[in-house]
Formats: sequence, C-alpha cells, structure tokens
Amino acid sequence: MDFLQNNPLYVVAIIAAVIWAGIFLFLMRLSGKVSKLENGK
Amino acid sequence: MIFALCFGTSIFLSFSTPVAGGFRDTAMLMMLGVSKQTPVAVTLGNRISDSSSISTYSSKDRFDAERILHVPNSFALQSGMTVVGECSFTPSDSSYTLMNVQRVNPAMIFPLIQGLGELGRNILFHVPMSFIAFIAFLVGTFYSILFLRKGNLKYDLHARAASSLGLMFTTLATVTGSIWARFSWGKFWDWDEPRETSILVLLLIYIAYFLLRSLLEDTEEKKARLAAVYNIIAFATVPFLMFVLPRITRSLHPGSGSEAPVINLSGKTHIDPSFSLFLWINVACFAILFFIIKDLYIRIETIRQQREPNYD
Repeated sequence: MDFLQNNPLYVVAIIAAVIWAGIFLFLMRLSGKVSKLENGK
Repeated sequence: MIFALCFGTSIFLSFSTPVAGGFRDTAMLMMLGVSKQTPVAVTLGNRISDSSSISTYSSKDRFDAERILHVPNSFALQSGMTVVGECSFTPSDSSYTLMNVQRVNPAMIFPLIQGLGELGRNILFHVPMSFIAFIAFLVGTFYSILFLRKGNLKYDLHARAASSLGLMFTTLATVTGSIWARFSWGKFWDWDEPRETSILVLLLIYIAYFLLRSLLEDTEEKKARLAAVYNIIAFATVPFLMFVLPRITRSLHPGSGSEAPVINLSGKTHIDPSFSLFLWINVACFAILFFIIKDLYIRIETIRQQREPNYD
C-alpha cells in the first residue's frame, strides 16, 4: 500500500485494469453463451 | 478496427500526457508542507544571468505567471522551450528552481489538481463509467416503455441487455471509485459518504431487477411485462440516487453541496480544456463500446431463444 501511495500512477493503472477486466469478464460471459449454443447443435 | 485504434490512442495519451501545474501550486504546496517539489509546465523566456552550473531565466508558467527560474546547465535547455519538470520554491527571493526535466515541448499537458496529482487521471476512467451507466439505464428504460406500448418481446431483450450493461458499468464505477477513495480519502469504503452509499443502493435496485426476472415462474410475456414495469420504477430512482442525493448532502466527492459536478446540465465541464477533451473522447469510446456489446448480447440471446424457446 505504501508503494501505491508513493506511486499514484500505478493506482491509475490498477483502475484502468479493473475497468478492462470487468468488460472482459462480461464478454467472456457472452462467449460462454456462444460456446453453449455451438455445443448444443 | 478504427474504433480500437482511437480507443487505444486515447487510453495511451490518458497515461502518457504529463500532469503539471503552475508556480503558484509549487509555492502553495510547499508553504502548506504538502510537497517540496511540484511538477510545473514552464516556458523559458529571456536568460537573466549565467554561471558555470546554473542559468537564470525569466519564465512563464501555463497560467502566464512570470517568475524567476533557476535551471541547471546540465539540462541543456534554451530560451523558448516549454518544459515540464519538478520545481522547488525559494521563499527568500521568491524564485523557483527546476529540479528535473520530465518532458520537453509536450503536445498537451493535464492540469495539476491539488490534493490529487497523478490520481487526477482517474477522472478519465471513473467519470465515463458513471456517465455510461446512466446512459445504459436510460436506454433500458426507453426499451421497457417501448415494450409496454408495443408488446414486442424484442424490446424487452433490448431493455435487459442495456440494464445488464448498466449494472456492469455501475459496478465498475463503484469499484474504481472505491480504489480511488482509498488513496485520496484513506478508506476503501465509508458508510458516511453519501455518494458511495447512494450508488450501492442503486446497484441493489438493479440486482433486484435481474433476480425478479430469474425467480419468476410465469410465461415469457408476463415476466417481461412485470420486469418492464419494475425497470421503469427503478429508473425513477436513478436521477435521485446519482444526481440529487449527492448534491443535497455534504460529501468529499466532487459535485456535492453547492459545488458543480464534472458533467452537468450547464454543458460546461468544470475542468481544464485538455482534460475535458480526453474525458469526452473516453466517454464517446465507452459509449460506442456499450452499443457494440449490447448489440452482441442481443444477437446471442436472439439465437438462443430461437434454439431454446423455453429458456430464459
């Protein structure tokens, strides 16, 4: 935590990473639905 | 492809553009004992004096304030150059000394927000999340109204897609806000902070929307009708929880009390133009991303419903 307190740019990087991780997880969920559809053929 | 390139460039510039203030920030933060050195953007003017190791320039900062600046000759700077670097203030002769050089002649500079510094860049990520969440809930409600008027189940699917994306963007805004709060206010979560509490209530309201859909054991038509009514009622709370409550209560969050929020009805963003430009570019990029994912969601769900008619 002290490291992040002294290097705030990493906090910004973490926040950007959290956003992309969230969007990626949502897309993964959609990808899972597509896989289910493909397997159900 | 072009969208991905624009979005990537915008995110890259959101990180790489230097943050810099003016001479006044350096003096103020030093006097307050916050920091001895502050990043300042200066344009070197006439050289006043010269010694073997240090040259003295009459320099202007980004707010056109003219001050005396000492620059070590080892930096190899010349008159007319715009430099971003950390400066220290000497109260005895009201002069400034350039301690290091971070960037020479930068294309753009982000403003130094006192108390935030580099953390100010988070505005470019956190604010678009909240804004797109509101747009998503608005789109969801619009389709719920359309469904109730026309009775076509495809509008219900649009409402579900938009609301689920709204829930995702609200969650991301809450998580990113919480991380930011830890490093600005000292705590990840504070129950006395109206903005945090109100956004949690909003999250719970929309989680209930999806729980309602999944728990109902009724025909698709009836389920969709009930969910649409709930969605419209849920949206009625959004302006109150997102805009009204945080304005009428005192809070550490910007835009509380009489302070104007970053994005507001007057159409003016209360931030520096360079910041504002990137903020709107990021808002536009996340908005496009919202519509792309929403479209994908609808196409997948449409195929699934065609193949598995009884599935919800």
